[in-house]
Amino acid sequence: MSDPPPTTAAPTPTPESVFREFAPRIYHLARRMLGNDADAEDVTQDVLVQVIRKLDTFRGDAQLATWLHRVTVNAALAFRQKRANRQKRETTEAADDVLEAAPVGGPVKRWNVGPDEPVLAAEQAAVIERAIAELPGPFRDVYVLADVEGLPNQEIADMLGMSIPAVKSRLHRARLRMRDALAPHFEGGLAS
Amino acid sequence: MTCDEFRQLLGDHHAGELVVEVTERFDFHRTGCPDCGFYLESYTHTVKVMRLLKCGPLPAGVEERLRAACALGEKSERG
Repeated sequence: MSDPPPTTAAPTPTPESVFREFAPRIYHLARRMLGNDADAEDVTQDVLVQVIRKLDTFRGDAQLATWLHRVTVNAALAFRQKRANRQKRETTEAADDVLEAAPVGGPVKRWNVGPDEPVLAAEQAAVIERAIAELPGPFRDVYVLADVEGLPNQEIADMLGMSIPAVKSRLHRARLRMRDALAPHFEGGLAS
Repeated sequence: MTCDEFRQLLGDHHAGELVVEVTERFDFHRTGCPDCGFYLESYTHTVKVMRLLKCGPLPAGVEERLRAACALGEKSERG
């Protein structure tokens, strides 16, 4: 786990302010990466306890947010690795083969979405969350960090210890899978 | 350009990383292939809509358990 970065002059966050501001963000990032509520809770607990112990080394929320992102990703990856070791399955190498793009098939239906900025209803959000949870782990990591969290490819590559071409390849394949998973819902009347 | 080749380029197209010559072939295929035109629209929408996912509050019960764990962590830190 990386150490917190050096401090600059700004107020030290309190445990309560950290909890209010960051606990939901840590939890939802971990849940999306791990695809499991109970695992996300364990990871959130680990991360919060770590950060509260190191609070006096931070000055300001911006620095803390960046560090927390990285620590949460590392904790989620470590958690999954431990679980995979226990279960003796799910290796990164194998995962590269399990998300081949669907072959071009029949006619493609136009999605029922407006040209403007989309709006996401609760029902649509639930469909999307389920589709994310069904992505294989290594693809889900890249996908969540890139398309949900909005991190640049370079940062994702650094966090996950991958090359940028590998990040781009996984992201593209995950997007194709997500697009195909969402198609039945957005081709109909679900989309706004 | 085939439909398969078109779809393999969607990521680079979305990132604005296609070179001019490939962009021309990409656009030529799109205008002549309604299926790939629709596919591109839906791919783009898939990317856009993810940024709308909300973080949301902690689920019921989770906040209480996390607060208790953090309080324990603080206590053990103080010795």
